[in-house]
Formats: sequence, C-alpha cells, structure tokens
Amino acid sequence: MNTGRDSLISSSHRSPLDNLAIRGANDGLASTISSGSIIVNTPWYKKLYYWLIVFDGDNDIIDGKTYNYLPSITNYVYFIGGRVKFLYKPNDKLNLLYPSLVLFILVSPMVLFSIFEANTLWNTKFGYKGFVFFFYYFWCMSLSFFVRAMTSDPGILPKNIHIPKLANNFQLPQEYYNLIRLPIKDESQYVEITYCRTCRIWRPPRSSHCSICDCCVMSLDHHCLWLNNCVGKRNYRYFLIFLTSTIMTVIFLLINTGIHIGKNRHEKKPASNIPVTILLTVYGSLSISYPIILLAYHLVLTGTNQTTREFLKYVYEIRDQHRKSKNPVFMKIIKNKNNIYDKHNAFKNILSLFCQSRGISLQPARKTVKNQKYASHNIDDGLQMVNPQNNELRYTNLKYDNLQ
Amino acid sequence: MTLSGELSRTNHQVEQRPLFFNYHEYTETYYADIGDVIEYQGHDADHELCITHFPNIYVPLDSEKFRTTRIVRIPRSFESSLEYPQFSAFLPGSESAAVTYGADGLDFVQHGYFDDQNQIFGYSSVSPLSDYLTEEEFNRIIIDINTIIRESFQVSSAYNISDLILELLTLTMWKWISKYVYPHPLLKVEEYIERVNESRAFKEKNIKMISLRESGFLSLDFEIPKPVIH
Repeated sequence: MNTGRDSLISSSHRSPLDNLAIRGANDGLASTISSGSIIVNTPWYKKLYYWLIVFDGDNDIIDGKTYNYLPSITNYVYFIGGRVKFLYKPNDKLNLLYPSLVLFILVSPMVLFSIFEANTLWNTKFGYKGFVFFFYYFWCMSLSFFVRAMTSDPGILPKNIHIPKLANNFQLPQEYYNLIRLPIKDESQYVEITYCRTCRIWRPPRSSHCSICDCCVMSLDHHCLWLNNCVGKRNYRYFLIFLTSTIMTVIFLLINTGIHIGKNRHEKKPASNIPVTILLTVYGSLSISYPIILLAYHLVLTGTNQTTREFLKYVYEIRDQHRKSKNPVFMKIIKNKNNIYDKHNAFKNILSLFCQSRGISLQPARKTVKNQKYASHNIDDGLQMVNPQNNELRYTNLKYDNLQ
Repeated sequence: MTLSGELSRTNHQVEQRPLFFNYHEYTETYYADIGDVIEYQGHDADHELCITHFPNIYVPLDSEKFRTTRIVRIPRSFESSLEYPQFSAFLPGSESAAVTYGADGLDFVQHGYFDDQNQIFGYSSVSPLSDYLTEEEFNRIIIDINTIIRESFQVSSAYNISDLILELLTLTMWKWISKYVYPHPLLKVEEYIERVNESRAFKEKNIKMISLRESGFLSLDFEIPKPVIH
C-alpha cells in the first residue's frame, strides 16, 4: 500500500493522500475484491438488520451501493436497503419530536373517528356514506404524502465535485471566495453564483446550503422541522399535497361531526351524549388554522416566484437598510423587483414552482459503487469484510477546518 | 419611505452587461517553470499560470487513472435559460472574458508546473481539451446535450404532468413502479454521453465525458489524459 503512495508525493508539502489513509489498513492485509458482495460467516439476523438500517458507513455487510457511504458525508440514515432515507443527527435527538408529534396529530382524530363516529354516520339513510369515505380517503392521502415528503429527496446536490487542487490539503484559491456575476437572457440583469465551501461545488442559482441536512439543495424553499426534511425542488409538490390533503381531511371531519351533531339535536341532553364528536369538532377547527395559513402563504409567495428562503433574504436586506426591527413573520409578501425568475404572471409563476420538474436523483442511494476495497482481519479462515473503504473523494468528508 | 418594492438599493441592473467566463478556472503565481529543474517560485502578474484542468475526483485516489488523467470542466451557462441546466458551448479559452496570452492564441501551450504530481498548465484559459476536440465538434456535442436537457425539464411536458397526477391518484405508490414503466426522459442524456464515449473519435483519443448524473449536472466534465512534456 504505502510503497505505491510514496511515488505520488512529489512536492514538498504534505499530500492529501496521506490524510485519507485507508481505514482499517493497519489491521491486517488488504485484499481487493471486484464489485460488491456479500460476506460469509455472518448470521442471517445480522444481515437483515444491517440491510434495514444503515447509520454510519462502517458495516459488516456491504452490498456495494452508495447508501453505505452516504451517512458519513451527510446527516441521513437509510432504511430498507437505501430505499428510504431519513434525517437523523445523533446529537440532536429532539429533531425526532416534531414528526412524531405530527404523526400523533394525524392519527388520533382518525382513531377517535373510527371508534365513535363512523358507525353512526355510515348507517344513515341520507347518503352520508360519501362524506365518511372521503374523510378516510383524504386521511390516507395525507398520511402517505406526509411519509413521502419526509423521506423523499429534496434535490440534494453531490459533494466534492469541484475540487480545484490537491495541494495544501485541498486549499481553495482566492477566486473561489468571490461572488460571480454571469449574464442571463435579460440583458439588463445578471445572475450571481457562489462556491459552497462545505460541499465543494459551484452552486447553481437558486440552490442553497442547508446546515441541518449538511448539504446543498436545489431550489431550497425551507427546512421543515415538522417533516424533518428540507423542502426543495424535488419535494415541493409532496409538501403542498400534504398540506392540501390535511386541510381536506379536516374539512370532511368537520362536515361529518357537524352531521352527527345535527342528528343528535333532538336528544334530551344533546351535548353530553356526544362528547367525542364535540371534541373532534373543536380539534378540527383548531388544527385547520396552521396548514391553511401555510398553504395561503406559499400560494402568494409562489405567485411572485420566490422561495421562502429568497423572500426572507430580501426581507432581511430591507430590514437592515431601514433599521426597523420588524419581525419577518408579520411582513406582507412583496414582490422583489430584481427577481430574475419572475415571469410577471401569477399563474405561470405558481405553475413553474408547484410543478417544477423533479429531474433525477443526483445523490442516488442505490447506485453501485465501483472500485471497492476491503480489509480483512484473518485471511486464513475465509474472507470476512470489515470496514469498507472507498478512496473516492466524493464519498469522503473533507472538513472545512482542514483548510489553511 | 415605504417598504414596498420601490427601494433605492443596488439592484441587478448594471450599465454594462457582465461577460461570461469559465468560473472553474483560477490563476496562480507560485509555480515552477518548464525546464530541467523543477523549482517552485513566485512570478509576476504578467506571467500568471491559468489553471484549466483539475484532479479526477471520479476515481479512487490510489488508482492508476487518478495518476494519469485530468478533468476539464465545462461550466453552466445561463444565457439561454435559468430554469434548467444548460452548458456553455464555448471551448474553454474562447469565451468573452477568457484569459488570453497573445502569442498562444487558441492553443494549449505549456508554461509551468503546479500542484501535486507537477501538473502542466499554460498562461491562457485554453485547456488541453483543445488538443483533442475542435470548436465545431465540441459545439455539436454541447448543443445536442442542451437540447435533450431542455426537452426533459419542461414543466408542461406530458411526463411531468402525468407523473404528478399518477402520484396523486396512487397515493405515492407510483414512485416504486414508475422506473419500470417509463424511464425519466433525462436519462436520454446518459445514453447520449455513453454513445459519444463509445464513438471512434473519443476512443482513439482516449478521452471521455463523465456522466452528468455523476457530476450532478453542475458541470460537464471531460476526462483527458494528463498533459505531458513534449
């Protein structure tokens, strides 16, 4: 191993190849195996466990796919062989509280409804079956799109693609710290692009770096705490459908409880007969407020072709200029005169952002990784893979504090 | 002063339209001149080395390919559209604001060593890719790729709308079967790049284009053999 590397060091300073020493190479002999497969002498339950959940990169089971390496360069965790991803930061377990709260808020009215209301409403002679059906339909839609918005790729950009040089531990040249202005179709305006020093890429316009996910996301709208995921180009439609279907679910819940209350009005003690119905009505009325405000906000914002991040940045600029301490939450949504993405037509703006083409996943989790190496402990009693290594810069964490 | 859009602040309207250049390149003054002895030293502003090719990050660090190949990056251009990725149709060195060095013109002329493994660079923005592809060949490839990308990213395309509707109707189950029913139109770019890589012209010269999915549509990368002294 080492003999090969010495010949590469030709300059006087430290080569970055030294820093990226093959993990586990000290343990024993290294042997190269051609693309990825699997290990002998591992019990089946261990195999299943490692296929289901991948927390960090080092597993006994590697099936040669990128999801084995991605947890070490992003904050994601992969389930079911990399098909489902979830944001998880070990130091910040509080992040799990919000989606579980949303799940509770979603599931509890459905359970209460099923136990107390459904039977009564289904067995009426006035054809209210439709309302019950639609309540369940929109509830299923809400839950499935919640899961989808939570686990889907918001448009993550790959890391370490634009590395300018190896010298001085991948030092960046001065030019990469500048804001670059480039011409666009409209001759009176320009577009600005910057280099993301954490991800080591030249960010396309409208992309942004999310520090919680620790990656750059295309057309980043915001990082949603409730979904525990960023909402970006590939995710926006699922976020909106989730909001809409939740609102529809609550509307049908209110319709159904309203019908039940109406049917119950001739009883002797109407209110105490149907406590759960009244609870559900109150619950519905309260819980519709947040999603409907959010949906209206996004509708108006996309009408001016601004993502939440762009709008807030503009608002902070104005606020700093005017030295007012207005809270951006209460600011009216205003058009940005210098918005180069604005099509000057609210419907076209909304269509272009709501239905923005998803493209393909740029950081795929199930792509086969070529050129894997494995270090084995005891070569005598069969091959037992430990610590997968992949010396590609794209799957290595080049920490910012390594720079001089 | 109201907080509506009528603020007087520096806006995106400039008197002079900015010029396009390859933002991946940068210049260095501390390098070694071409000669028998490789000695790194500082140089003056008239003789800045222009770094036009980069380490091959698509292969492992200790592989043969890493030692013998370099990457030339074609930047994204925003003059046709901001909605979808489009690449610059200029061969590096012939953009409006490219760095020029009078005597070299549009050829890659070797002037100095820089970086690990003593890579060879010139004074102008012209990259070693100009040794392998003519302006017309390069232009044809870029225009084809740009066309395919433009067609795949249309918001009102049948694929996009039907994808949205089917996802809605099947309650997200469509995602698991869509790639078996109809692959994403953007994958046509991958096929095109593979076809070009397999063509005689590319195979003979030992150059290839890196798949756009690997580079994240951030830049179109060409893998070329490492420039050697001649």
